[in-house]
Amino acid sequence: MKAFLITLDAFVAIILLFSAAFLMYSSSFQPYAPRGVYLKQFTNDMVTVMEKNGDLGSAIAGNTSGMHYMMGFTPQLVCMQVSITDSAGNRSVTVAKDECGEYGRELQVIGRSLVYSGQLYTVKAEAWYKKEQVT
Amino acid sequence: MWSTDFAAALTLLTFILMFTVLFWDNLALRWNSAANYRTMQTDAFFAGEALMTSPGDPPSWEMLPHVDENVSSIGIANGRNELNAYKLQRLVAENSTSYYLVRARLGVQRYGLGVRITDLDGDTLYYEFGEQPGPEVSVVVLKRLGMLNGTPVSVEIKVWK
Repeated sequence: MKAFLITLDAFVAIILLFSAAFLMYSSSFQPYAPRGVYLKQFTNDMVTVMEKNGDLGSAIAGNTSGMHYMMGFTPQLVCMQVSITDSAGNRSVTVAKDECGEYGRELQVIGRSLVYSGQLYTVKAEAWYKKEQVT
Repeated sequence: MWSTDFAAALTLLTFILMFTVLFWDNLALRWNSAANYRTMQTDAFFAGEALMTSPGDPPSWEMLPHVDENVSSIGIANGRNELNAYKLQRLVAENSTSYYLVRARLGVQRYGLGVRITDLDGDTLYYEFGEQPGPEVSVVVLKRLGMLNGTPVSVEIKVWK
């Protein structure tokens, strides 16, 4: 009887060991990468290109089509929102990428100043990865 | 009876030890591979940033008769994200002779490198430098945006091993 109990213990232990090993081995294993660095670089790219292409100025003047167009070239998993605020703190324009919900993973925020028609504006760009993307 | 118990326990223990060694060996390989990929990704980020935001050193390296050890860094921009067509033309022209040097100056000498400048849709190819990876390799693909001759362009940077 004693020998049987020991064997049963061992059997249960082996089952547990195999189960744990199988779960660890089969779990999705993806390396953590400093994706926030790339997200920040890309956000800077986007704002710089929008600025140099005149899209930010056009948006202040009331035409946001250029900003919307550029937003379409963000990577599929990246969401972005760009806001322009005047020197009095009033938000002039906010343009967000379509089909993006609330903030997701690795939010990156950049800001810079912009002079348009002699007025000083602040440009704030926020970018994040969509929530359904698991790292 | 004691020797049967002992034999059974020894067999089980041996089996468990062998399994543990094989399992951890496999796991260590995967962790190592993940760490290598992360390093490659970080190197790709910095290579992309150097290309897109700096003119290189010397700043007019594209005017030199040879792109060699006198060039200490490579960049293709006049200012941030403002691409210089002459630098791009020179980079393309030096593809066959300076590929290794350019990779080294960008800090990705351990990897393959490919750079493609296209329109935003990716339909029109303006410039291409380096090589393209095969289907079996581990690849980091970065998409960056820049201005070329007053027009927004897409810069695709591939680094692989």
